[in-house]
Amino acid sequence: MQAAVLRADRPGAVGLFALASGEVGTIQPWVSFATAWRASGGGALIVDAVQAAYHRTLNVQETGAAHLVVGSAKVGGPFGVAALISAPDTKVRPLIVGGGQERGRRGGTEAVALAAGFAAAYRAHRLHAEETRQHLTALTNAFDDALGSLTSLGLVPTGAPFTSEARLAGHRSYAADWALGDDLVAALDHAGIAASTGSACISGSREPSEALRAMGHSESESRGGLRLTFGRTSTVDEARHAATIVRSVLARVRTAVPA
Amino acid sequence: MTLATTALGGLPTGWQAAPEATAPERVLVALSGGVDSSVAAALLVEAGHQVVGVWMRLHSAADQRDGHRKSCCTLDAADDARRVADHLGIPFHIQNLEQEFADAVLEPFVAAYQSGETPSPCVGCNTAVKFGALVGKGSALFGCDAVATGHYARRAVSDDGRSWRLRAAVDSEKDQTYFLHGLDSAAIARARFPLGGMTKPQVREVARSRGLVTAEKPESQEICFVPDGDYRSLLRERGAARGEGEVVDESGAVVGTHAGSEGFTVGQRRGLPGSGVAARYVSSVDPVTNRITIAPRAALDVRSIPLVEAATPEGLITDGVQVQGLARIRHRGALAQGTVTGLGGGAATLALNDPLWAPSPGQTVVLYDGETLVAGARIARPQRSA
Repeated sequence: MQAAVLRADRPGAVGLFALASGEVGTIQPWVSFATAWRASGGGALIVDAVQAAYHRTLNVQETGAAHLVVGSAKVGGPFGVAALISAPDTKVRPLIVGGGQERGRRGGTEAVALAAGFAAAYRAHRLHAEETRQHLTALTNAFDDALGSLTSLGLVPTGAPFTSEARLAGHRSYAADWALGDDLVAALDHAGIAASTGSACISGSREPSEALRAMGHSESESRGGLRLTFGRTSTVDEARHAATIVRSVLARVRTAVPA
Repeated sequence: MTLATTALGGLPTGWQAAPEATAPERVLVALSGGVDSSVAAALLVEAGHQVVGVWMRLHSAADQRDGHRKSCCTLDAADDARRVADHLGIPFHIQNLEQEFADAVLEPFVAAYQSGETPSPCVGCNTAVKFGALVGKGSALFGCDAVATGHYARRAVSDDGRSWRLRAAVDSEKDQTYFLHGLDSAAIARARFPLGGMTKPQVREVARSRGLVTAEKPESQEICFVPDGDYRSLLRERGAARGEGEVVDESGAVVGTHAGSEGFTVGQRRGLPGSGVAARYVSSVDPVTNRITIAPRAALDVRSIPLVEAATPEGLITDGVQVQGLARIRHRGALAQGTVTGLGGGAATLALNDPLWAPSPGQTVVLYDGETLVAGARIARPQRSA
């Protein structure tokens, strides 16, 4: 895969980067991105580490970011709370003013229970991070083996190679140029498999995925994105079983859809 | 004076009522969020079939306006459909068919008004969307071989079991075969109409007794993608409005003006300049001159109607082929015995024994053989006699 070259379109522009793509599972080569950004005169960087936090130990200094965002739900914590981690010398203009809470950055009663839940989940996540990564890798390996040839299913893989270190553990993404991603998701859902297509942000739309288009996939492939992810609680047997169902559902949809 | 029948006969010779399914089927039910499709789903579940509920998103017209709650295409309607599916314990999916709807319904709707016709959007929706695209999705995505709706219609099958026709519903007030005429034999074979033998009060009673949330929902009569029934503003948005023009009488004399000929349909009386003389009606709409012609009521009785897309459930009516039956030119309208004669390419002429009043170009003609629908077509614009 060829890394994109990032440039600021004007000096001091604020950059917002996702450290990993939930859609295609690629963990971005952050250091080279950030270097190119700074070399082109770019300003402060805000890093969305929501996807990546689950999979990598984050070193805030290493990212060189002014701000880093980490979500709770992705590490098994409660919904509705996230952390904004800011470099010591950065200032944040509060969106909600009027109180001194959160060091003057956000007025209002703090959701202590959510924050404590997030912290506990994050501690547990860190404690088991390597073990979880290995488990997820075993699941995707079993799934890949049971699924067999992607070509025979009419799928192309999207994002970083499945065996690459630059891929989120437990994440598989594909594109089919013969079906709409939404249709594949509906058919799989009906068969008991919860999958997704494209980015959650454009769910329900039939527009091609901008990410897949930008990566050079054809327009028809970009409408046929399919994403399957595994979690800590999934088992190897479930992964194999899921592959069997995915095979038969895709085969049925493919024969029924006019070429 | 129009001489017309109001009743259809029974099943014609060689045709029988479609038999009940003898084994459980996998059936997709198009749930609109209204009472009819809710009851259709409930009856199929009770008959032991494996039912999958699907709500179709067809357009976004109703998303942007409040108070448009009667339409089947609002998010509220989707919620109701989902609640019914939950209540019945069946899987529920949403299918986005906006593109198919735009191609088969919205664009032809605007184009019809542009060419001086009065479109019949429900026909295209039934043929191309509900019993077209949705059938394909049902089989490809959910393994369903049949598609059911809450339409009031029945089915008939030929004695040899090879051909299918629509059959009028028991409740003649609710019969919707007119809007379903575009279904061919293969589509009818896969269609299920659980309400065909019921009356509306019976349907509501079933809904109440099963505790369906949609039991008391009002009827949706207006065009679903035209909020508030104001199709003229849709045409203006699409640049299809023609502005002020002349109203002429049969002799060609200008008798007044109108605000846009796209707002008029053949047989219309409302919105015409009052003249104090006997009532007059729109007899033709000319999109080129933006002129509408008015005439006394009797002048709109016709015995010959030009048709396009004339077809039986077996396919287009070819050159020289004749089909006889009781003709109807509007939903629940009068019936008159007639013969459709094919002219090639789907063009045809309907010759009537007794006149029918004010056939409107763009609207639908259907022909019944007994209570089975044997042919359907679209009314063409008459050749201008210059």
